[in-house]
Amino acid sequence: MTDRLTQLQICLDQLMDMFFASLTYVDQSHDSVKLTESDPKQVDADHDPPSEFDFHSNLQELSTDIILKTKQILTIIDTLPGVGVSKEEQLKKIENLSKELETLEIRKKQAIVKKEKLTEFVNSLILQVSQGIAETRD
Amino acid sequence: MADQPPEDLISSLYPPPPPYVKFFTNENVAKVKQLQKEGKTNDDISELKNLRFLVPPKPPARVNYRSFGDIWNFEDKFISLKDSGIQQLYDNIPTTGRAKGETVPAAGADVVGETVTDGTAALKDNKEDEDDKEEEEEIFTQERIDELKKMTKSLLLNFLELIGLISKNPKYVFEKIEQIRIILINLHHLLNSYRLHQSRESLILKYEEKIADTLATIDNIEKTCDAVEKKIKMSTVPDDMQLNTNTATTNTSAGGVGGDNQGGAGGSVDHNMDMDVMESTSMDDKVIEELKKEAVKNLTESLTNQRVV
Repeated sequence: MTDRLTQLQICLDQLMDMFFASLTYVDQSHDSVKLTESDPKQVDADHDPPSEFDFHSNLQELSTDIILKTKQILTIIDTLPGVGVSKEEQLKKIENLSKELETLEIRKKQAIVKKEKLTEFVNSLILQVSQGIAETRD
Repeated sequence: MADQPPEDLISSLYPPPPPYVKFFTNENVAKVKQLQKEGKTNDDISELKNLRFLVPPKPPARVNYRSFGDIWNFEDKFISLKDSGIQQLYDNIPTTGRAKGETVPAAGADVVGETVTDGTAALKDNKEDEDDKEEEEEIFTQERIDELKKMTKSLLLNFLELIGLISKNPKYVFEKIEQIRIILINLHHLLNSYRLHQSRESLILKYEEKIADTLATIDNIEKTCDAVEKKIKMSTVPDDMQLNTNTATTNTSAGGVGGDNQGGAGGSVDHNMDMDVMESTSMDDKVIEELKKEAVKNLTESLTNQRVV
């Protein structure tokens, strides 16, 4: 997962690609059109354009994709973090957080020490119990 | 090693070390150190024979250098759009006084040309604003966000215009493409100027994540410890030894490590379960010692009783 900015820039690139792709599609798949009614329709043997229905539905699809991509970009822009927060505020927040983290780390260490003591105690308890059992066994 | 003639080197292998390595003898290095101690400057040393290469070269005096066909600056600095010769489409300082719709899109008949469609060009002639702007790219406000959105939308509009132009008057297509290019560069520029801000923001997020993580760890450890202690006390403490009875933190389901550590003993001492739960923090060493003895006694008794039965 990349960060929002990179994502946004990738989306912009994709949008450009889609622009280009749709232009290319129109360029390569359109059917020939008569200039005047009396002209005979030119048919190119090497060119096999899709049917008009297909062509239009594909155009529909391409344009829908472009719109969706734009909407995605707008959504990502909306979710950019830290809007309206100044640099000083950010730095202050970072400082506070790092202090908080330090105290937490100390607490964590204490907790771990406590845990180790307890483990030791439980261990010795188990040993004594088993010893006691062994002694009473006859 | 040194007397091997250089012609014998196979050029397709890694390139040989640069020829001046042979000046880096222990003797020379010591000599340079000695000279430096004596207060000679690097310039003086570099004039001596054989010692020229032992002095680090001076940094290049020029501002930029050329690499892979591009010119790069030695110093990383923020290059404004103005510096790179691209028209800036957004306001530098998002002051509140500035009208929002002013920048993009502006009616652009003058830019696109008179013959073209009625489309509006997103480009704005903002030369007159540029004078009173300070270089301040750090703050990222709602206005900036709005600019981004506006530019995205005008990107779409410009594409639409481009298509129109292609079908109606391909002569002006290149101009339109250039405009799209400028909008894109502006967008990317704006986004990149946001990077510093974003990196700080993600640092904050990471901190918060880490703090939550640590809190969870501490909580876990303490819960487990409490559970174990309660289990021990439940099975051992006789009435006369109760200290600081505290039922508020009762957690009778001694699960997790607590249950595991107790192991076989736990099952056999269920008859002691209804005893009061003692507060865990009051366990100092002396109490622990006594508890231990008591526990051993109780457990052993109950075990042996069970066995006898």
